[in-house]
Amino acid sequence: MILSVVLFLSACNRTPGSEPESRNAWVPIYTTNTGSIKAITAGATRPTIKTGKIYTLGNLIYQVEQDSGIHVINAANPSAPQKLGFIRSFLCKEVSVKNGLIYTNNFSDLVVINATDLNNVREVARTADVFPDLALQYPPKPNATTMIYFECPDPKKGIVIGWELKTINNAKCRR
Amino acid sequence: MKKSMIILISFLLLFTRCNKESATGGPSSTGAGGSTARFTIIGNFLYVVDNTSLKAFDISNTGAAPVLKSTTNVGINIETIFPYQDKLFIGSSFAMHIFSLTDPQRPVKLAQADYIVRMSCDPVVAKDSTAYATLNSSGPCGGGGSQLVVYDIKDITKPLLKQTLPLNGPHGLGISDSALYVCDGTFGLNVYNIRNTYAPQLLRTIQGETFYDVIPYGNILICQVATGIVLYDISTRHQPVFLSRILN
Repeated sequence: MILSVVLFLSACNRTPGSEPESRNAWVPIYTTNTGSIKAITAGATRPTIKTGKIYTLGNLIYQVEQDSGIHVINAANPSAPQKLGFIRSFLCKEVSVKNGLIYTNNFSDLVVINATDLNNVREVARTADVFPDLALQYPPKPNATTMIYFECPDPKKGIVIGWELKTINNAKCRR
Repeated sequence: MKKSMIILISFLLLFTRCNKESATGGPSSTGAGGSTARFTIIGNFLYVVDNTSLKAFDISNTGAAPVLKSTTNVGINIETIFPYQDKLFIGSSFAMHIFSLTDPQRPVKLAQADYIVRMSCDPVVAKDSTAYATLNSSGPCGGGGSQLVVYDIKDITKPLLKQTLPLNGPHGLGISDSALYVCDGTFGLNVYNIRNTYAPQLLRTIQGETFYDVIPYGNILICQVATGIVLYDISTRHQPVFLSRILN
């Protein structure tokens, strides 16, 4: 299924009037490489940068590295825990484990991962678009009351994976 | 470098606005998560909350794709899900929602307790006849005073507000026996005595980390902090002892 169909373009409000106006606005950064977005792969241990949610089962602790994946940690000796490996999953936010299978999100999909062998991590199953919030294609607001302007995403250009603040003319979307 | 600034798409996610999680029990084939999770596994079901709804997935067929069994509208700004016994406690910006799992495929709403402080980020945990929630009114979560609220849930359909205690910048929380651990962000980890369940008594605040969530797991307290994870020994529940940090 093409990820771009999950775009919520309806969230854009077109600004009234048609005067071209130069202003600071958010411009989408696109990717068309949906293959890499959907890849679930093993990686070497890495430092924790964007601390995420935690889960534990037996002697293992799992910690989300926000947006990138899951740290797998051996805490059999809680005085000297060790990272064992890393599981990459784009836009990772959540983690839960049952019967040796890891449940997490990959972009807006729910995925089931077999990571019993951290050198051979593999996707077991996937349910599409369980987290529609994660596929929203508009930039963040600094707070509830500040209006932000942005260039309306064009699904033909790919999926928006980030935003750049630029001075542009005629930012047509706002929220 | 260009002066332009790049922000990952994830910043727009509601998920990142506030994180909270807490624990559900000891070792088994299913583990324990925190109070800020949007996922929880109970038996053969995975429950997921998105911004507005609660979804039940059948995961009994190990290795197959989770099968959606029901979608239940909960409200708006749904943030967290916490399992306790055969109930789900769902935290939102506006209320604590309680669902029955008598039929695990179809959670049924039992109660809703509206908060007085609105626009806050609110994980919930429960034990026996008491539910605890933190209401975070700082930063993107809204204005007003942050709180720890305590509900009597003896009658699960009619939660009664029993106590409100001030907090600074709360996130997740967790319970182990007579101890309640509340992450107060940059202000530290508050340890409460909850022997008198409706009147938590603040015993100490552990400082030096920015605490986001906790999982009490046997004699270990697993804390999500800004730099990674910190473990404490809670053999003495009211007196966590530092064990280690997991950063690199």
